[in-house]
Amino acid sequence: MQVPGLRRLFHWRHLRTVLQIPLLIVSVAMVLDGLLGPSLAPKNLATTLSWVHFRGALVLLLLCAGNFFCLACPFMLVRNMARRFFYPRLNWPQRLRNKWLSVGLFALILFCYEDFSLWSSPWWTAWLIVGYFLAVLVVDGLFKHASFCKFVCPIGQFNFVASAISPLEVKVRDLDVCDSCGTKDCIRGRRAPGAKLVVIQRGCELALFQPLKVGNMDCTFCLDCVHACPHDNIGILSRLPASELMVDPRRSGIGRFSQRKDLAAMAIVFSFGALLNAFGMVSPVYVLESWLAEILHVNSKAPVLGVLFALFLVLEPAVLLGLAAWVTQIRGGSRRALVPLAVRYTYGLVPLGFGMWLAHYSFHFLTGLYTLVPVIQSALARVGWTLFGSPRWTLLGIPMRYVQPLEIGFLVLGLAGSLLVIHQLAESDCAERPLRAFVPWAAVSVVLWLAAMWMMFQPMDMRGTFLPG
Amino acid sequence: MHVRLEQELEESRSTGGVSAGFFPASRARRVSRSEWRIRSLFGMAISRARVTIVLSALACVAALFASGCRKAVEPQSAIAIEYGISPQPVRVGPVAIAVKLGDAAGEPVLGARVNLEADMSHPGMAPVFGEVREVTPGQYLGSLEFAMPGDWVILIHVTLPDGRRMEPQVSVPGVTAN
Repeated sequence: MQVPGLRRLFHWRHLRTVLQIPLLIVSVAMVLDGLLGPSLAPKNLATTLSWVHFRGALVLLLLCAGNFFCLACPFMLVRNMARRFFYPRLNWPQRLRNKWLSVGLFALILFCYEDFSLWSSPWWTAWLIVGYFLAVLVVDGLFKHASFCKFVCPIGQFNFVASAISPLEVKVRDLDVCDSCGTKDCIRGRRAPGAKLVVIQRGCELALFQPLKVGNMDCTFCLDCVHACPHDNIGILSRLPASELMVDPRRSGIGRFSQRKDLAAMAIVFSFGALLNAFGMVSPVYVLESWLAEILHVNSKAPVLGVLFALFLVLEPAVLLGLAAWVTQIRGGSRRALVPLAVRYTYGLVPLGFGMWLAHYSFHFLTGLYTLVPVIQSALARVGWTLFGSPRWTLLGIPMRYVQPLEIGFLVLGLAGSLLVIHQLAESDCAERPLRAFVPWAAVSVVLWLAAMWMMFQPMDMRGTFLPG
Repeated sequence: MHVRLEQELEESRSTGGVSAGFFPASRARRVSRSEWRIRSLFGMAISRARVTIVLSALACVAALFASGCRKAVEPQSAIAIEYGISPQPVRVGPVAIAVKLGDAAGEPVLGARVNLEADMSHPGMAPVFGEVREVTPGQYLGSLEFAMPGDWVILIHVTLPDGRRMEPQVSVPGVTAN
């Protein structure tokens, strides 16, 4: 950051803690209200803050700035406090040093959201938050570094993938300074003078060596590297959004995107999951679910959702991406095998997926923006603090007619971003005939975009139940 | 759909708070009097104070879960509330809500103030409100307009003539489009 005030702020060692404390307090309030407050979701802090305000603010922050939620993550504050008592001795298992576990957890959260109708249950929402805190404590209590953030946290993975579209990145200002640096404190941590084993400022816990770091993948914006660098050579700098998806260098702590099937799977769940999550809120899904329940002869939600998830998160991507990879191979003359080809171009769908998340979550956020006020009023009244008067439940947000054009704009931006990334990848792959590699992947993007647009114009239907009885 | 809500049943549902959660913690304190340290499977040296903290935290979480973690329901005097919604099945648009109030002796409750509020199961959506008038002694009639398909919950705000308030919730799942 070159802005004088902000630069000083981001260099302040206690910034993270100061940001984390209010979020921790809010999290505790959400848990207490979720467990002890009203059972009706629109009147409860846990559900309103989680499913309307947090998600919306998160995606808008990712769009406008970067992964600042991870910077202010309250789970890490609790972990850091716990690490004063327990110092982990184990290394994260070698077999799990990838994103497969977090891909599964991300899909599982999307599944649980539908199966348990989390949006309508303050109780389950509160336990989800509690479960998250416990998981952080267990994982990072046993395993060294930021194992939870890098290999487990589904919110973190969402942020890592989405922040590929962010305009800000933590990176080196001048690579020449790094070349002449002998200490590499950004990764090793700054040591106490005269005591080499004493770390006074830790380096990157996610194994990102700044001079070789490319993009926001796995970066929690914790600013440890900023504080550790003795040359003040690391900062939060601007860049072209999605530019990290257009190149494929070897990245520190990650490797090449094109060689990471687990990361590609994450991008698939991110992109197709965005459509699936939004599909769960429109009327046609209930017709499809009822039909599936009938042909499966089941009367419970889970198996129907299981089939739906398998269709939209496994079969649909396999067919669309497999077909596009095959056409690219045949028509584009790419020398890559089918799966590596699909892996490489899958990242091109991330902007479109983000556009869908943005359209969906910002819709709830903007149309329900002021609902936070009566919910807070009501929560304060329950603890005997009626300073703000009686709750005004009629407070809502921005009318739908103004928000809908914005949603369409986000989707168009997402499509444009995807087409741009795919074009860049096609140009670097097939310099002579880039169009032949571009067209099949562009077609996949357009098909998904049309599906997203179709969903946007469907009547919204917020149902947790679709089976009789 | 015609359902009878027995408010007095709420008396028997009280969960009794979370005081049970402190029992395991006090056990942990008793254990900690002995001067031992344990070494975990993972080679971490854990002091007695740390054991106490961890056991207390885990015990509280377990007790919260086991207790159902609901606030105790205040006992209500026996007021029976019956309601009906028409037309059935419930669709987007106006619906008529009939509410019948009766006391413990089965006598109709006259002169109560009844208001309707309906919320979607998803937070952040517009609630709808409806006024209710007493059409015959103890019988109240009002209307609501469901604005969107989905799961709705109707809150019947009742203020009895003696000032007592009740707020039974009525779930209306699967309101469909016209």
